[in-house]
Amino acid sequence: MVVNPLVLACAALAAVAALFVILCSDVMRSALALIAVLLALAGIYAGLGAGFIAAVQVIVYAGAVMVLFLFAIMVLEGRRERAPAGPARRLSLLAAGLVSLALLAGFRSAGKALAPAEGQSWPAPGIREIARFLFAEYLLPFEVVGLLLLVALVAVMVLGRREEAE
Amino acid sequence: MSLQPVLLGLSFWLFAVGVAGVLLRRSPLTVFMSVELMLNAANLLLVLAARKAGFEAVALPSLVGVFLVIGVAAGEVAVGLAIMVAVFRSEADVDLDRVSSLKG
Repeated sequence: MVVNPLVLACAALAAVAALFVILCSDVMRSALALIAVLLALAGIYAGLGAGFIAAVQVIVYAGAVMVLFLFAIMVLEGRRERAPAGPARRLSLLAAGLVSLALLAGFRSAGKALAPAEGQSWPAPGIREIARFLFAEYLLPFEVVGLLLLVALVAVMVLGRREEAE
Repeated sequence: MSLQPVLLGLSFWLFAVGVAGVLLRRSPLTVFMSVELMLNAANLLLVLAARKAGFEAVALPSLVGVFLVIGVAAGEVAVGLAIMVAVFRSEADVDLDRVSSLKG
């Protein structure tokens, strides 16, 4: 398969922007970097031929979810975080390193299993195939997610209500 | 040069960065964004698996999985941010280690 330079550029952008997400002390900058990651991932999906997933990624993630994030940032604006200091910080770094190493080992073995079959073209399943599958075999998970979103909606309205003065 | 190891590495990198963010940062918003990074790493891996299967009928569960993960993530973010706003509305500064009011 020919390497798509657009996909490579998107991958580089996502890798760098992900670092910015956790390194920026300003939450707003983190959120903007996260939007860059999400859009770059959408570009990768499109480049791989999964156009429907790319569209959902842009609409739901880069659109709806990030708007929620920006609203929360605006509400909580001006609050400073306390960075963990001393042994807690070292312990966190150690734990992050260990988890990363374990993941790296897992990915190395997964890399062999996921090696692309040669000479295959990727006719991406269109929205028609995905919909047929989603509403036939995966109808229950689909309905459960719908119910979950409804429950989340109600929960958010309950949580976001200001307490009545007693 | 093949694209597969690059994207596999990107998926690993996104998840590792997400783990580091959850463990190192104390701002609840940044922690949430790190969780999003990890979810996206999983999504990227699912799409890669679908592509490995040639995007044929056997690949559809993988793509539907991505779809469902995005839906669940949206619900999770909505509830999580609402809890955050409710908890930190009365607090002076934002520190996840000091949140104990959710204990029973």
